[in-house]
Amino acid sequence: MDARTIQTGPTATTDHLLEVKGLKKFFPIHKGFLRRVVGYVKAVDDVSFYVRPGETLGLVGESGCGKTTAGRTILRLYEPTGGQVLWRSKLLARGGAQEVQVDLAEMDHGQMKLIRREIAMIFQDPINSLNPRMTVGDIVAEPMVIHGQYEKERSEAVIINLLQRVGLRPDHLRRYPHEFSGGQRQRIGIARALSLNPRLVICDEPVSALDVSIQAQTLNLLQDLQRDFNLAYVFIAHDLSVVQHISNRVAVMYVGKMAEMADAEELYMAPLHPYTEALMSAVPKADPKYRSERIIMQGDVADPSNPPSGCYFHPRCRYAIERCKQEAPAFRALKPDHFVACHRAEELKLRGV
Amino acid sequence: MNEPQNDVLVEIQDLRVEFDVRAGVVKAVDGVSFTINRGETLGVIGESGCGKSITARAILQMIPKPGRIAGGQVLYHRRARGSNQTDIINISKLDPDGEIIRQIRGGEIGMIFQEPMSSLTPVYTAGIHINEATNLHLTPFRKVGDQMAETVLAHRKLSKAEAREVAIEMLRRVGIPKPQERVDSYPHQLSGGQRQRVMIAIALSCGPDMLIADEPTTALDVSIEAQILDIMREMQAEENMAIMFITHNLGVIAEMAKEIVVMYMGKQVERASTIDLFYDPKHPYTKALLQSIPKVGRKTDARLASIEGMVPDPFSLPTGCVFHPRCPSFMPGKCDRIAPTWQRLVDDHWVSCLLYEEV
Ligand SMILES: Nc1ncnc2c1ncn2[C@@H]1O[C@H](COP(=O)(O)OP(=O)(O)OP(=O)(O)O)[C@@H](O)[C@H]1O
Ligand SMILES: Nc1ncnc2c1ncn2[C@@H]1O[C@H](COP(=O)(O)OP(=O)(O)OP(=O)(O)O)[C@@H](O)[C@H]1O
Ligand code: SF4
Ligand SMILES: [Mg+2]
Ligand SMILES: [Mg+2]
Repeated sequence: MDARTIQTGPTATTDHLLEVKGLKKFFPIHKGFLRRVVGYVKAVDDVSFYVRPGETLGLVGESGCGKTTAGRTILRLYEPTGGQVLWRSKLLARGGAQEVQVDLAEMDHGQMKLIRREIAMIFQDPINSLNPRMTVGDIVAEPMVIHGQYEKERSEAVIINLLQRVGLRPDHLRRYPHEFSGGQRQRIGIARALSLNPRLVICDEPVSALDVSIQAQTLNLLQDLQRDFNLAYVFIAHDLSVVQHISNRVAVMYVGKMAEMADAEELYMAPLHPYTEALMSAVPKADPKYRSERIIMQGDVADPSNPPSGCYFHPRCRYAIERCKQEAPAFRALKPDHFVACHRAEELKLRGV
Repeated sequence: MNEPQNDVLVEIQDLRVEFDVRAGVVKAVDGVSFTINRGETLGVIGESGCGKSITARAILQMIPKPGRIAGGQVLYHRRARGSNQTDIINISKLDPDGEIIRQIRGGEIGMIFQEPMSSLTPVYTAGIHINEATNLHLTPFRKVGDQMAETVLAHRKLSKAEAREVAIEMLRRVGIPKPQERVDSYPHQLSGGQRQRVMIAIALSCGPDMLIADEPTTALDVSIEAQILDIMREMQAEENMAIMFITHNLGVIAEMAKEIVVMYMGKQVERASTIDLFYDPKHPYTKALLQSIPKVGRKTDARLASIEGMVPDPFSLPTGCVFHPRCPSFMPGKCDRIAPTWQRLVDDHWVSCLLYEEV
C-alpha cells in the first residue's frame, strides 16, 4: 500500500525546483529510566509535493500536523527518517552545467552549507530564533559572515536596504531583539532570511505577528522580490486569506500526511478533501455581522504517535464510510495539478469559501 | 442585580509607559484611557509596535525593564468570589514583586502572552519572581503538566493529584490529543500551536475574573482557533469573565469583541462598538487598516493596500497629529500643527482626529 502511495503521488518532472518525495520524520518517544524508545511521533509521514521556480506554494493544516517539521527536515535541521528532497542546485553544478539535481537527504555537511545559501528559512517563533545578545545589524549580517559573503561597505548598504524594505528604520540596526515588539522582531527574521539572495525561502508564519497594514506591506515586498529575482516560496501560515493571496498553489496537511494540493483558487472554491472543506468553513471574516457556518469536526484531534486506521481523518469526517476505516487513501492526481487523498473525492460535492 | 458602576472591572486612566534607552525615551504608551467591564470583551487593535502588549502588561504590573509607568493609573475593582463588596486597588502603585499583585496575576487576571516560549529572554525576568514567570510563560526543560499544576496549586486549594487532573482536563478542552500523555511532555516537543494552547489552558485553569489575551490564536489553525474562541466565550458566560483581546486578526476581533479600541504610536485614536467600527470607521488610520485586509474568495492579482510611509522615529515624533505624515486625509497647516483631542462623536464612538474638530 505504502509503496503505491508514493508512486501515484506527484512525480518528478524537470520543471520543479524542489521535489519532496515520500518525506518522513519520526521523533522517538522515550520512556523510563533507561530512556527506551517506546514509540514514534510520526510528525511527517510520507509527504510529497513540488515547488516550481518563482512560484509560491502555500502550506496549511492543523496546528501540529507537521508543517514546521517538514520545512526543517527539508533543510536538514532535522535528519529525515526517510524520503527524498530533490533540489536543483546552481552552486553545486560542475563542469559548465547551469544546474544539477541533488538529493538534500544525501548531502554532506559542506554541501549543505552551500545549499543553505540557496534555501533560506524564516522561523516561526521570532524570539527563539534571534540571538538576544546580538544587535539587529549583526543578526541580519550573520548569514553573510558565515558564508564568507560579508564586505563591510557593500554589505552594510545591503542590510540597511533590507531593513527599510521590511519597514524597519536604519537606527534600529544597533538595537537588541528584546527592544522590539513581536511584529518588529518578525521583520528582523525576514530581513535575515533574504540577506543571501536565496532562490527558495521557506517562510514559517512570516506575517502572523504583523498588523494588517504592515502585513500587506510585507506581502507586497515578498511578491516584489519574487518577481525581481524569480524567488520561490513555501509559505506556511494559518491565515487562509493571506495564504490565498500570496500562493499560486496550496497544499493541505493533516496529521503528518498530505490531504490535498491544488491551484489556490481551485482549492478554496472547489475543495476535494473533506478536511479542506472543514478548514474553509472556519475562516473568520472581518465582518461583525457575518455568522459562520462552521463545520464542527467530531472527535479528538488525531495523535501522530498513534494515528487512526485507514484514512487518518475518518474519525472526524462526516462523509466517512466503512472503507475509510480499513484502507488508507492514496495521494493521487484527480485532475492535472490537483492531488487529493480521499476515497470519495470523485463523488463528494464539497463547499468552498 | 448589580448597579451599573459595579460592572467596571479595570479602569485605565491616562496611562503612560516610557522606556529609557540609549538613544532617548520611547513613549511606548502615551495617554491611554479605557474601561473593561465584567463579562465583556474589549478588542485592542493597531499597528505593530503601537503599545498594545505594553498596555496589557501594565495591567499586571509587569512592564519589562528599562520601562516604567511614567503617568496615569490602572484601577482594579477587586471582588471576592460570591461577594458584592468591591475594593478598588491601584495596580500601578503596587510593588511588582509584592503579595497582592502575585495573587492577582495568573489567579484573578489570567494572561496569554504573545510568544509562549519567551521566558528565556532577558526581557521578562526583570523584576518578576521566578515562580510567576513560570506561571505566565513556559519554561524549557520542565514538563508542561508540572508547570500547569504549579499555577493551579498557587491559586486554588487542591492536592497535587487534583491539580494534575485539572491540567489534563484543561489540555483536553483546548484540543491537545492524548492529554494524559502530553501532560508529561516538554515544551520543545510540542508544535507552536500546541504550546500556545498550553498557555491558554494555564490562563483559564484558575477561572479568572479577567483574561488578557495577547494574540492568543495567531499560532493556531482556523478550526482550533474557532474551538478556542468558543471555550473563551463559554467561560465568559459561565464565570462572567472579562476579556481584553489583542489581535491583528480583524476577522477574529469582529467575532469576539463588543467594543474595540484602535491604537497608533502609543495613543488611542478611535473607540467604538464593533459594528460601528467596521461599518462606520472615522479615523483615517482605522479606515486604512480595514482596507489592507486580504479577502478570501475570488483571487485577484491586485496588490494589497497598505499605509504609505514608515512608522515615525520615536525620538523625533511628528508635530500635531502623529499620524499626519502618513494620513490620506492630511490637512496642511492644521494636522501638522495642532494635536487632536479625544472627542466623543455619538454615543460611544470616540475619535482623535482633526477632521472631526472645529479648530
Ligand atoms: N523535537 C520534537 N520532538 C518530539 N516531537 C516533536 C518535536 N518537534 C515537533 N514534534 C511533534 O511533531 C508534530 C508536528 O509538529 P510541527 O511543529 O511540525 O507542527 P506544525 O504543523 O508546524 O504546527 P503549528 O502550526 O502549531 O506550528 C507535533 O505533534 C509535535 O508535537
Ligand atoms: N524592552 C524594551 N526596550 C525598549 N523599547 C521597548 C521594549 N519593549 C517594547 N519596547 C517598545 O515599545 C513599543 C510598544 O511595544 P509593544 O510590544 O507594546 O507593541 P505591540 O503593540 O504589542 O506590537 P505588536 O503588535 O508587534 O506585538 C515598541 O515600539 C517597542 O519598540
Ligand atoms: S477518505 Fe473517507 S474518511 Fe477520509 S476524508 Fe475521504 S471520506 Fe473522509
Ligand atoms: Mg509550526
Ligand atoms: Mg504585542
